[in-house]
Amino acid sequence: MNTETKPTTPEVAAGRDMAALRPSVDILEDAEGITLLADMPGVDRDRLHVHLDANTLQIDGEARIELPEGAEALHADVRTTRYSRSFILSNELEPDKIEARLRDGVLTLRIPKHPEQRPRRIEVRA
Amino acid sequence: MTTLQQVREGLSQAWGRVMEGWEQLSRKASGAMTRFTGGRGEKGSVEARELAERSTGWGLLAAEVFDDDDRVVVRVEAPGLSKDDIRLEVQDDFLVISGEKHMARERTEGRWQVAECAYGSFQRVVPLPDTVDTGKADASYRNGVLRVELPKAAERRRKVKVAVH
Repeated sequence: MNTETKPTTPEVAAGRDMAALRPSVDILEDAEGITLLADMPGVDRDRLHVHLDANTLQIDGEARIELPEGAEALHADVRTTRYSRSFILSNELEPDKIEARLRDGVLTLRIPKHPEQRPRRIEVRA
Repeated sequence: MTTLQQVREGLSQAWGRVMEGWEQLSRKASGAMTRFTGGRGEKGSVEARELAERSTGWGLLAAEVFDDDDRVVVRVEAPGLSKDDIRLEVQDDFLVISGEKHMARERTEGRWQVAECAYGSFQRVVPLPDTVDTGKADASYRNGVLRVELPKAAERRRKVKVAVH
């Protein structure tokens, strides 16, 4: 994986700008593929979107902050935190075989490499 | 990357995140940058070695405090924990949240291309706006958000019955 693109332009919600936060990410590369972990606290599966467009991977999520009933809100409107980040995937990956899992606010993506791209041991004959 | 470069990278990444979400972050309690130290696992374990490789050591644990007439609600964003690894204590007028975030790794070999998340032990101290009744505290952890509800001590509740003549 090489450098990432800028996040998508922030949507304008009810006349108010809602800038998105970039979630912290870990990317681990091994011989067979890459594992991406993203911290997205407060996001549940209904509000998580993972898009693939050619070689661009886009992660979007919305965390709803449920105000306790009766508590005074600091602002008058509903508070949500938007997370957004995108990545350009290198050609050695097979994005169609992506697997995604969301647990306790951590998104785990697994993207395998093309079989031909994986390091192979070459037998040396005597 | 050398340790110094990693620290600089980590700090500039964290600053970039702070600037982007300024409106949301302006509500959050101060002291959100929390230090993560090596975990309590045995030294020399695979996890301890991996933690040592990643020397950034700082994570953003945002917290908010809601103050009601009769209760205080503290909300802390701490993704990737299991309930057994979270400890809550009330000391004077502070809520002390300690925990440990483990690395969930299915593969043992590999190379970190990006390492922004924080792992290990952490402790976050949240000042409470009022005296609470610790016996009736209630905490839940959902979607990586810890929610602690603390009813205020009886003598501190502000609801007052007013008799109408």
